[in-house]
Amino acid sequence: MTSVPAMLRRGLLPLLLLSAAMPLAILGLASIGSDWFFPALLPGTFSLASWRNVVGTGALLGPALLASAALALATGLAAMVFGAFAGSAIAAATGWRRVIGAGAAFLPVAAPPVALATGLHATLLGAGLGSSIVGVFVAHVVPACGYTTLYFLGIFTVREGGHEDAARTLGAGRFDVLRRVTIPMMHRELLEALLLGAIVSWGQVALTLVAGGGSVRTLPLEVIDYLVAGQDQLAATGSLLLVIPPLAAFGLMRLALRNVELVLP
Amino acid sequence: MTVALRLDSMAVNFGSVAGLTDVTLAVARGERVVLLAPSGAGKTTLLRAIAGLEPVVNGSVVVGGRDVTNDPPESRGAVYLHQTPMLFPHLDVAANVAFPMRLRGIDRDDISRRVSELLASVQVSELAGRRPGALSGGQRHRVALARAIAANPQMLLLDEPLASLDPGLRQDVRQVLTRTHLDGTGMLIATHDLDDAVLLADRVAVLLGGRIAQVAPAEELFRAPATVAIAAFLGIPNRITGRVEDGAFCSSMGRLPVGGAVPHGPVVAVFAVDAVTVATGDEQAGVFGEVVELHRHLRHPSIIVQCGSVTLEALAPRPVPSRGATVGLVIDPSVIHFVPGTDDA
Repeated sequence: MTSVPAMLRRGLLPLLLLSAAMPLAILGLASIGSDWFFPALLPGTFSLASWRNVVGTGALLGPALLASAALALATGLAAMVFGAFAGSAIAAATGWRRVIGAGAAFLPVAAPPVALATGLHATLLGAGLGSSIVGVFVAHVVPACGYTTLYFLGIFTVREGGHEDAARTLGAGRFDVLRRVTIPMMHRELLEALLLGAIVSWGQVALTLVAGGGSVRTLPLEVIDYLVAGQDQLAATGSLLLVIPPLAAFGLMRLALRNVELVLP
Repeated sequence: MTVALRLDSMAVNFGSVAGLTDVTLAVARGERVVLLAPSGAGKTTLLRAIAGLEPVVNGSVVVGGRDVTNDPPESRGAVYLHQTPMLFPHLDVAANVAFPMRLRGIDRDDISRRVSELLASVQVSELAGRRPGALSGGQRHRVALARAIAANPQMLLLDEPLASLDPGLRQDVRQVLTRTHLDGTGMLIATHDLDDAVLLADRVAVLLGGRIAQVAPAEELFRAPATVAIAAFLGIPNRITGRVEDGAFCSSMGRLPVGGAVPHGPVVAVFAVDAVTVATGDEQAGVFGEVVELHRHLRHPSIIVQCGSVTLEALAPRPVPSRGATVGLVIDPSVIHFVPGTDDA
């Protein structure tokens, strides 16, 4: 006889899949349809007009997509590198140094984006980075570094470094250990941190708006503008563009790492 | 002797507290010294400090005649092998063994030839293309040993190499270690296992109380431990406190004539289980007592006999006497070792 928890588990999986697929399906329909009013199951008319706004002449979504992608990639890379070093340093620290380090990493994660943006705004203006893409990058990097530092703090707290010790006594200097042992052994974690940092940047609205002063146009800002303006088809297209790249990146990463062996000593 | 390793009054902390206070030891090239100590005595800390992975607070570390006390791990010429073989999971077996040679920029062909030799020497040639995850525990140890030898070190530091292995694999790795004889390299093997120490060591160094308490060949160590604490750690059960006066050892068990250079004054008579046998009809029992316990060791069953205030452990005769039986014991005086002082172990 099938137990109740087993039945629940069986029932929950299709529900989970449905809850993930339904919004995407609705967005897909909305991006190619118009005149879609309740209680109609499908849009009244179909057209690809909004998709031409991605690549066509005078398109707004395309450049915004590129700006978002560039910012996300740069933020992910910077946050990955910073997080790895900061996380390992905090993990190696003891006592109050560790508490302060972990607290400093947690602060940009815990602070609401608007509060963070307000705090960063004055600093960026003072540094001459107001309303520039570099300023937006700096604003994105701050919370992203918080996430990746906490991520690596967890990893380095349980990682004992036995392989690195072995490598050193076998004759590897610090740089060789990093290049030949740590990075190859941790490339799964490094890729995950890159993706984490990129996703933090990818979805930013408040920080982009404040640091960019409205002149740096990213995909989330375009989508919000379309929503406010009632251009539902363009908003749906932009939303799909917001969803697809992270999903694709995640899928590609899983594919790339499918043969990576995790070997405990 | 050509020295591979010399430690002079070396001190190493356990975290922020004093740990190893005064470690002095020498290991010759080609010699295998076992560092024998109870768990928590600082074996790992000492090996890591020699390798440069822990800071040395005082004293010096000399490897291959060169003072390396302040050198980084990569330039000490001492390879540290962790209890569990730390093979690099992203490299196959051949690449793991080649790792130290690649660091030194050795020619590819020479590396390939040397890797083949080393894998053959530890009998894992057929595993060259496998990843560490596909190896058994014993195979991993063999590969780790080959990789360590590939670094051509002055000293090999092996930290409890048999501790995490089941009996079959222990035997396997033991054989590899006993067959591995490197003329130019000294080996220091840390263990808390007495059997491993006896089987692996040219000499045994006992680490107790933060210092090397005694260094001797295994047989000598078990026959003549330098202190009562060492005797207790070695599991020598028979320790009788008394005094040596006028050529005899006087204790609560009576007088036992002793010859040779025995220290006068308070001493502890130390002797192994096999020095005490149960008297048969033909022998003259020196002492009588009541059997209070039977120890069912697999190889050498023994009995615990209460002789007044003294407890002795003796080899069990056949048939094994029952608990409560009175037996006469014969102690072989030639194997009794006298340690000056009292039994405070």
